Amino acid sequence: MKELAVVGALTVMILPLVTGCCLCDDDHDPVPNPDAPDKYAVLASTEMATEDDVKYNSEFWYDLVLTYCTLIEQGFDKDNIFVLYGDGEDGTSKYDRYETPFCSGAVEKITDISLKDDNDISKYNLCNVLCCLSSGRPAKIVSGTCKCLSSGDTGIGGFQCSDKNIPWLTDDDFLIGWVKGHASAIKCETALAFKSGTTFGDTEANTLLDDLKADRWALFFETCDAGGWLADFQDYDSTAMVVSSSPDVDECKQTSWTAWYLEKDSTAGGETEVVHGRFTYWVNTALRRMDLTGTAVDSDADENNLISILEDFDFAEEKILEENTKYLDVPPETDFGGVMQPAIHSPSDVAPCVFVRLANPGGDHEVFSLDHDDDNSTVPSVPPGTVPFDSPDIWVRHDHSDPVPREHQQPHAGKDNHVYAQVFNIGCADPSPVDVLFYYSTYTDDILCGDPTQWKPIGEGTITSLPPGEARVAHATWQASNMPEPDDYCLIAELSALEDKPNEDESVAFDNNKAQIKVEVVAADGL
Amino acid sequence: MSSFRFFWITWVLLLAWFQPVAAQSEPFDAPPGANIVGLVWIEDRFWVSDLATNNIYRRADDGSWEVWQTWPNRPGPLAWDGTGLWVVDELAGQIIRVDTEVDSVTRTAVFDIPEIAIREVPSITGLTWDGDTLWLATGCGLCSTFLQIDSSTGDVLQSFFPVCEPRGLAYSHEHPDLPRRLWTVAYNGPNKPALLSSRKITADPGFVSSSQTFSGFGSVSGSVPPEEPTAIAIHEGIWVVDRDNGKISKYDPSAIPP
Repeated sequence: MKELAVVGALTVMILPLVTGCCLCDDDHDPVPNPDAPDKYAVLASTEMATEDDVKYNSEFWYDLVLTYCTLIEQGFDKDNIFVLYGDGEDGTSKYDRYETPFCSGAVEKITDISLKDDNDISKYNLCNVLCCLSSGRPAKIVSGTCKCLSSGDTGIGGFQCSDKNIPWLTDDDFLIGWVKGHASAIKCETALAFKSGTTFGDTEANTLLDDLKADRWALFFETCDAGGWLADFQDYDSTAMVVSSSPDVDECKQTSWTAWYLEKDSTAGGETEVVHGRFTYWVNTALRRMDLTGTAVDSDADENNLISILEDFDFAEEKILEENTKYLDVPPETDFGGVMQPAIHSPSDVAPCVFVRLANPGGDHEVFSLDHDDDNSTVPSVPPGTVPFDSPDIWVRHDHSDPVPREHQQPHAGKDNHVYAQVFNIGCADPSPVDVLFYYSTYTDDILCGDPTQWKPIGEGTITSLPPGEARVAHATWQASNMPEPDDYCLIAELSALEDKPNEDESVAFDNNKAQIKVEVVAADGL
Repeated sequence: MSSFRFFWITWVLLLAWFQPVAAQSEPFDAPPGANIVGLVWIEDRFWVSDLATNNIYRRADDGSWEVWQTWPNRPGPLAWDGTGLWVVDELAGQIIRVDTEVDSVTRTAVFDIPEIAIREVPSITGLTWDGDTLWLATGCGLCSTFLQIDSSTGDVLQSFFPVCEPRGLAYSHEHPDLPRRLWTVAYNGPNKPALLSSRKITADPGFVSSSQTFSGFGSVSGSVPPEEPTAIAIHEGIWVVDRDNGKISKYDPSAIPP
């Protein structure tokens, strides 16, 4: 009896280990993402490429890699990008960009999660991942439709969010999604179609993401008949939904096409044409501000070195419509189609103010002035070889006028001068009033410009209205009585809004609320 | 008759019988100015459909083309089921079976093109017969699809993605050197070579998808890989219409799939 008791006790202790805890409650309540606010991405390419250089085949891998590496370039942590592709293994290619290591050698493997089940490529793990992000639990299947679990932590196919380190996003996180796949619509009910025969409808996607708490999110869908996705996400006030092809939300049947684009490739002896989905190619090109040959493109409409979702869409739309005219020149009987119309749904306060490049895309309050021509507000702002006192957003005029000429004049000693700073609002709310405090200090070196502990106040200008996505100029008078002797000085502008204060770091490079230029105070004529 | 004489007579007859077939190995011209979108072998000759004239042509014994009928709308891809010719008519939204024994467009069956295959632009690029059912190819970018259709009802039996831009469709159900497969040409634009794509057909779409293989165009005397393929047919090899040079050429796949 004693032995039996020991065996029984051992069974109770060991069995859960063997069976995966079948005797205990497996409902571990998920915990919202405990990490600091961060940005996350889900990428799903729902077809497996099997060949190089085959249209509607190769680009399912190429476009995934391109989008992934764009996000890496935009400051995403690779651990925060969840990639669903094929059987869970990366594709291969004869082109070096699409062969490991990826993203200029930064990443060895990009695919995290298989899309295959016992039959073939299916929707189930896409459902699991979306549910993990939105509700902290994976998905289940009810009458063929994915739904997020309300209890338990084991989803379809044994999937567990914790196994893949997929967090339950909180209000402060940002999510970007990209899906490429086959889809069709009947009466604008659009559904992704998978090889296994499963379909993933727009209403189903909407339901899975209904609980998503991410502060703001952006979804990019490259499918045919994509208007159905737009229609289902119209009610979300925190989402920008960008789709490849849809003449209208109510008339959504339209094809998505691919095309060949030049890109650099060492294995092809310099440059070669590689096939990409037209939508994916152009939205990535816009975000990267260069094409795949390395040629700069003009996607930064407001010239603040940041691409908003709206700028991204506007640029991609313009390019795709240009391509359409090229394809339209081909008589229909000698080619098949080629026309597509990208579309966007977004509340006015999302697409213009979500900048994927920022550490906190779509945050409410964020102002900045450029530290140099290529500054995009991220810190440290000064890459090697860039002088830390070359802001194009600060300048001096001898006389104040309206409108203010942007040409800088070296300040006159002993006279009133006027100092200006342009401030960009890259947040989603109006942060005004924005106070701009101007300082100067003696120029000391090429590293810091001047000693931050020796800043002397010049004056203060206030911006009373600064809508998202816009820029305004603050002005202060540098009084004659406050003008130093002729010499080299540093002129600093420090931006301060109620919800976006300058930080304690005295280095301009480590605070996007500070910018500076080097000025030469010169003797004024007649003095 | 001695067995020796019988042997030689048989050989002579066989050679005479094969002569036209041997001639058929060389590329030949499509009808001048034609825009061929359908190619099919019917009994002893090729037939084509031409969007430039709306004619359906058949090839005469002397190699010229004779108009069989001018189609009332725009004749698309063609398929032969052994006794009747199937014609895709996208303008009418129908797939129509006609009797080739009579000198008029005499319909013997008709059904609507399945809704899933109807796009905002003309997109049907291939039609073929596998012995029991029709197969339809749509070439519409990411929505490109192969559909198996019950020819008696028009119902879609199965569908899958070609994972290429399909130009033409043919089924190798009678050819001794080709396995029973569904063939298309994967068109890759003017600057990259087109490929032959084929797959086995079963009732299991997963198997159908996974059996897909690509191969290049093998060299056959006088043939160059097609620059702009528009239609494909099987007759003792794979025949492809090249709109770029106006030729119809025979190819052997560079690799015969299992």
